[in-house]
Amino acid sequence: MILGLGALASLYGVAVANDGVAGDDWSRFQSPDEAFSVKTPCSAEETLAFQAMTKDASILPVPIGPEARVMCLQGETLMFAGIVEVPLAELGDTSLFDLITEDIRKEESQLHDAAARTVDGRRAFTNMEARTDYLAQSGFVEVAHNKVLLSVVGGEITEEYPEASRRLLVERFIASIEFADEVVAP
Amino acid sequence: MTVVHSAPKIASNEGVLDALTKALGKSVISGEEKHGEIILTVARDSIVDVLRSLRHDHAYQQMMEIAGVDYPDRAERFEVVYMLLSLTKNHRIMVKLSTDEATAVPSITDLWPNAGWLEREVFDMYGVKFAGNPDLRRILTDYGFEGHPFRKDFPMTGYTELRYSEDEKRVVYEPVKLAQDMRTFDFLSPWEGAEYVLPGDEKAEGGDADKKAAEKKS
Repeated sequence: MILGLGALASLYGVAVANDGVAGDDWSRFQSPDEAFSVKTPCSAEETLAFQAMTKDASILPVPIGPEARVMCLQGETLMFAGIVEVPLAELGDTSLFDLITEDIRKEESQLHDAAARTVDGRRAFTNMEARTDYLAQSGFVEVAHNKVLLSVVGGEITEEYPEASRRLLVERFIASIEFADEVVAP
Repeated sequence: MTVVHSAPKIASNEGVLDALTKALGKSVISGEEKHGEIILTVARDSIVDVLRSLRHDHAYQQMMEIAGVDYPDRAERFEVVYMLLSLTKNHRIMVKLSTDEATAVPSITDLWPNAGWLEREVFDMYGVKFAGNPDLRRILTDYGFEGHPFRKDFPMTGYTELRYSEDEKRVVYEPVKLAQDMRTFDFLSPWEGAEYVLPGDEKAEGGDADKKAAEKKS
């Protein structure tokens, strides 16, 4: 499943403007619920503005609230990471991660450059779609039996940002995802 | 052996069951002393309050282990057993509750961080869900493992087996193919009273005869 960058951008009502992603000045941002953190080229102000923009990111059948996501939109590049959660009681023995990834694997039309990997020690599944004009990757990382982190990252391919640089950006984003340490009792 | 000190290895259970049953009130469904251990069965929804009370009011500071038990014939087929240790009292107790496949047990990760992994183990082996555990993933079985291997209805052979594939140069998973039927062991040693002749045993008499012949010659 590749989630369209345009669709996601329009969901948030953000216009695509300049690109400022190529530099090394990425900063780490933590989701408001402190469940995970990820590096993006956005400033703290920009990240906070994106969190306030829309209450629910309804890009999946289940909502991703602002407390559970980090979003950065700079120029022609979009980076999104958020945790999807379904009630534990609604889930059987198969984990949410397995349900989602099995569905994607069955849909050949949705399956592009798919790969199983690990992110911060957790199993993950990425699906990259590279076209002539843009490159985008959707990723899923298992957080818990009933929770999955969804990442969407990519951008248009231009002379300034060719495919190779887009691939580096995509990899840099997903590889920077870190989950919070386990609960520490008071 | 020289006795260095006279302290008992573990404190006496005397009076503990009554005191705890009284203190925990309606949360306790039943309590017993069995095999020298205090066992409290409590209501599922009050497990966090019970364990908090045992930790803060009764000095059971350590969560040593969380175990699961499967009783397929029961309506609530699983038991979850919490084993506590009081370092200051030198005493242990067990607290247990029952649940089924669909009903989640409240997580105690806010009380003891180590319960996170212990609950993951019970979830992985039995499929018991713990509501509130922020990291409820399988912990012992492999990625993509299906089923819960400590359930009584889980086949002893499992569903898949793995082997190294020379063609693919990696370990591959395949459905279990039994090269022979499951064997039934009679647990009798063939050297101590088995009533059948093992393959090769028929040569034993010949072996003795050869030995006797060799003794006569000498």
